[in-house]
Amino acid sequence: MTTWGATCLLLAAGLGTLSAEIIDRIAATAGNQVITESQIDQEIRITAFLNREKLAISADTRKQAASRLIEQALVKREMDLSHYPLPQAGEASAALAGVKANYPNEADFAAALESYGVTEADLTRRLLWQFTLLRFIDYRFRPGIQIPDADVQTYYRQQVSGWEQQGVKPIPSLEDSRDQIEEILTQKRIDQALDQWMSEARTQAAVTYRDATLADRDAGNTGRDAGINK
Amino acid sequence: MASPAAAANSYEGKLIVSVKFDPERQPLTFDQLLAMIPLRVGQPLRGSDLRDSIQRLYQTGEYADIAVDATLESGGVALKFLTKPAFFIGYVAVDGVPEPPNEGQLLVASKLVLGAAYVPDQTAAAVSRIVDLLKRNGFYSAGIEPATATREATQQVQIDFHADAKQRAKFDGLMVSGNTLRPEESLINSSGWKRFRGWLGWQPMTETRLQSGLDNIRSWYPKHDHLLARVTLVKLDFHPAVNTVTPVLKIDTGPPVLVRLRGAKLSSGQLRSLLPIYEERSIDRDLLEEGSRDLASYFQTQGYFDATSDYRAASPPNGEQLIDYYVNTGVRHKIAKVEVQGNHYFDDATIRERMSVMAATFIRYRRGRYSRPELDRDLDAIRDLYRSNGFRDVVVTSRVLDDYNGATAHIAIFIDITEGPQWFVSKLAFEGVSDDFRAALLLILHSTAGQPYSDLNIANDRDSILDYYFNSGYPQAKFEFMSMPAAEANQMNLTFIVTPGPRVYVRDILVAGLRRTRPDVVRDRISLDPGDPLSQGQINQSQRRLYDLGIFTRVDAAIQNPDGDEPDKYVLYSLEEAGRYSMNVGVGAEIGSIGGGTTSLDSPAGVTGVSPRFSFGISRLNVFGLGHTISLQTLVSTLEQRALLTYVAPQFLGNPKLSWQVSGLFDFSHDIRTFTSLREEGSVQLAQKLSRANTLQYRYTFRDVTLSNLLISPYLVPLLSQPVHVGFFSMSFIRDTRDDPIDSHRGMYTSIDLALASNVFGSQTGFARVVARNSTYYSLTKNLVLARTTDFGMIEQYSGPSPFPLAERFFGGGTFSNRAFPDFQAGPRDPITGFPVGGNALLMNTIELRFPLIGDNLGGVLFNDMGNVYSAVNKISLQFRQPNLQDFDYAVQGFGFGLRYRTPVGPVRVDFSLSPNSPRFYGCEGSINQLIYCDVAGSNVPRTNQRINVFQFHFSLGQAF
Repeated sequence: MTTWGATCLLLAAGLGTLSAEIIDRIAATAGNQVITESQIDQEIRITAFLNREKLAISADTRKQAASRLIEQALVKREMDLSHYPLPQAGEASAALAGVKANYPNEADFAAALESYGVTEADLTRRLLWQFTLLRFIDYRFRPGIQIPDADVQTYYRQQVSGWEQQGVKPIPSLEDSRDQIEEILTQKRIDQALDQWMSEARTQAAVTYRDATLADRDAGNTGRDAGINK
Repeated sequence: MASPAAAANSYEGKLIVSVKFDPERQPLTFDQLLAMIPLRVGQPLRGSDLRDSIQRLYQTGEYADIAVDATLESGGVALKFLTKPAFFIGYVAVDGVPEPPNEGQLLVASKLVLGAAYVPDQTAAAVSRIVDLLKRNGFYSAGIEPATATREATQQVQIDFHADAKQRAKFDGLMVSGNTLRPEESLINSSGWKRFRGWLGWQPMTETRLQSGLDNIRSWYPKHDHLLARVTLVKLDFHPAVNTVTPVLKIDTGPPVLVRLRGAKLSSGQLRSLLPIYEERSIDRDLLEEGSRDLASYFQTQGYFDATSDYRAASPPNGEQLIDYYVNTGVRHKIAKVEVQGNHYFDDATIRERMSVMAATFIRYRRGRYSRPELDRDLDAIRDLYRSNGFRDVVVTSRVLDDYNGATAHIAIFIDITEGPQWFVSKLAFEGVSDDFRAALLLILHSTAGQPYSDLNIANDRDSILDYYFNSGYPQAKFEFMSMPAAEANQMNLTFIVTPGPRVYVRDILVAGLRRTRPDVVRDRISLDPGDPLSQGQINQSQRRLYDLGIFTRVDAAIQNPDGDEPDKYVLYSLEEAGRYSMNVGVGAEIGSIGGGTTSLDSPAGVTGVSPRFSFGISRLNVFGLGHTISLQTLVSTLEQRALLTYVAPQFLGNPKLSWQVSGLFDFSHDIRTFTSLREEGSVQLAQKLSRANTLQYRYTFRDVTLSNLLISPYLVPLLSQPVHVGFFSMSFIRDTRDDPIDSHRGMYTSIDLALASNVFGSQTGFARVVARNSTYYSLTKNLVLARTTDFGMIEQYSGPSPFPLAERFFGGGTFSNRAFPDFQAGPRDPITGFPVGGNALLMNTIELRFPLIGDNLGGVLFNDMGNVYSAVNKISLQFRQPNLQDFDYAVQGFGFGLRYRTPVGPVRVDFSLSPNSPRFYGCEGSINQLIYCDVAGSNVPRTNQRINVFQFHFSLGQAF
């Protein structure tokens, strides 16, 4: 039996003077980026806190969290490779203040954080990540998107048809609606471009899972058990 | 059991009392590991530090999996990293497969990349892909057995695929569906799947043969107006009982397509080669328009610079498709003049070198070369030239004038250049560059102080700097630059900013694939050592040295775990040894003034004849596993029988600049018409490459030459037919700076050979010999080359019998010498028979003007050859007239014209020479047995006045020098 196997067996059997336990491990990888078990756990907790949902750590929430973390890893790698500027820590302050505004006072906010097992620093990092993603989209996709006038007019005609059926009066002119329509169409194209990029990035980065149960959300990526089972 | 994350929370903030790794033997040292992770003994444990540690360890690429366990101990928490090492592909080989496919194709098919991470699933997938490739090459019953060996110490997996290919299947017929328009037998004949149209049965199946057969079947249809024909391979029916394959094809001929050209004339072959619809076998708007453009371009290159083209496609009711191309050629022009104006910094020649537009020239471009896109490209090229030399504001425009100087359809093109000010680098500063690197970089950069400032120079400098850093072990080096106008006018201050990143070193060199070769032979050729900075340049140079040994068919070099962040890496060399033996066979013929027989006195200068020749060679490679080669090369012709045995030790004693050679020669020849020689010779040579251009050779030669059938004065025969032992030491210096040794355009070639024969070296005759050659090549214009060469030689005998042995004298003249002569016909001749007897000195000079004639492949040469072989060095003379019929010490002139046709192995050469002062001499008619009656009153052996034919022709491969 290898040293590795013996170690696992001893640990699994709980032998020894003081019990040892695994406190973190690799759960998935995307290229040379690692997603650890603790990151997945933390992601679930923060998401539940922000959504003000009951904390539920289940197979499904773990899969969703793992998938989000892999996307984060891919975006961060791309930003690093392409030298995109990262947001400053202070940029998350306003967002943090917005979250705090949902609570009557600091003490309640701190208590809520504690009940989810989240620290303020963890929450700030997560909020900062949202800014990072927005910046990535702005740098990576928005400059390349152009909305042809024909698309604007087609969308406007569809809107007009809907407004007429709903009896909206007066119906806004095309010129009055143009900026809004362009932004809507731009967002759609950005979403499409982001989805496509993410799909390609997942393939290129060879996403693998140490825990096969996490793999369900990523078709084509089979779990790869590297052999640490404790 | 709690989740790891939940468990981690309970240890958050506790003091770390120890950090260990399990297993103890890790890919990196304990110190390297600790330096890499942010966890420290005595510091509180943070979850984020733990995650960072796992991330950094994983980024080394050395681990397949990592977990961390914690144990509460008095005073804090003990951490242990439980790791599982990653494995990498260290060697892949496939054996047991007759070519095709070759091993390279099999390895590519396996998709197992040297040095990349290895996952066990890859082996099964590789087997599947290799089996697939074998089937495509007719090995339907092949079996593959993979054998993997793991090297724990170096984390390598070596994979050998042992193949049992069995018999290759043969074609056995063809099944076709659809309206083929041709009988099946005709299709089979086109495919080439039968040997000699079936007389020798069917061909074995290979992927290449299958594809070429399909292509041949396809190519028939476009030639018969069915360019939309589709020939599809539906499947390959394999018959295991008889091991044969039947290709099943579906042919859809499509409608007849008639392509017509209106307004101009082209052969159907030219039209097919010009129009992309034939190559693509498809008709769509894009291809039709592309064809239209191609037609217009073609006619523009023919002088119809205004040519336009359009097309119309129609589908008449009879099912045909009609495509009519309409070409309006316009007037045929001639480029009368191309003039460059306003250039001061660069001369005309420098600018014209970059231009494809050119005025009409005699023969080659009779109309000149011009089209608007070509002119635009030329203008861009001129702008780039100026900008790369600091002329940031240069303006280059063109004017095209028709009917220039009143001549109809004559075009003049004026290129107007406004250069503007030239910008220079005022100061170059560095950031992030160490002092020693700075000193080295300054030697290779363009944008140093005082040099022209340009984006191109900066881009080149960027490449140079990054190359330097990459080759110094900084694979992640990054480069940026800043530029600001200096205080002085038209001056810029530059700052190069380098972020080197971590330095990576060589952990060790791992060589795999050696079976017969001694490991030290390979190791001595690899210039990297453990602990050296990892240099891609050194890796590649070592790879080249291994290839240069000539004993490996494949030398793959790779870095193990190339993307990992570990501080030192293994460098891998995976080798495939070549077969032990190689053979060559050649059949040819020599044509020239070589006839006349060995006993006939009739034609001292030879008569045109043909000498068939057959050569055979065999080499044994990698003798004793040392990378040495022993080879035997034989030649049999009516003029010569020769066997040469050589033993070559390249990169002697591991030194890439030394090579050692021993050779033995047996040669029985009649190439010099005066005698038949039997030569037995042995030599030892050490060659030393001093630099890229300079080589020294040291040589000892011993030979024994016996002459027979001497066609010379009878009283000299007893003396000159004695066997002569000659032993000499010689030294050669060669300096070669030619751009292309086969067809040089510029550079110089110089060789000097000094030899000393003495009884100390076992020689019966003592002499000193000097032979020197100097050739230079000048590119007068882009396509015009002036080449010259001078040969000088002298022999001074200081001891031994007289006269000097015939076989050691200089013989010259012919294809690679003075072309006024047939081969070896220059110099002194026997006063009675008129046959050449060689001389003790030579001086030859040749001047050639080489120029293109038609297209890119056919060129011409005008030459003057001058010189001769002389009786002695003090008899060397440049006089034009031959003094008398028994004195040959004068300079024979040859003027001529030659053709050169470019081929991949060098130009095929035909030279015609006219010599106004070719030698005249006395000769006799009859046979050697009648020689004593020559010119004797009453005999029927007359003495005749003869002359080397003033016209000579030479046919050969390669330039004259």
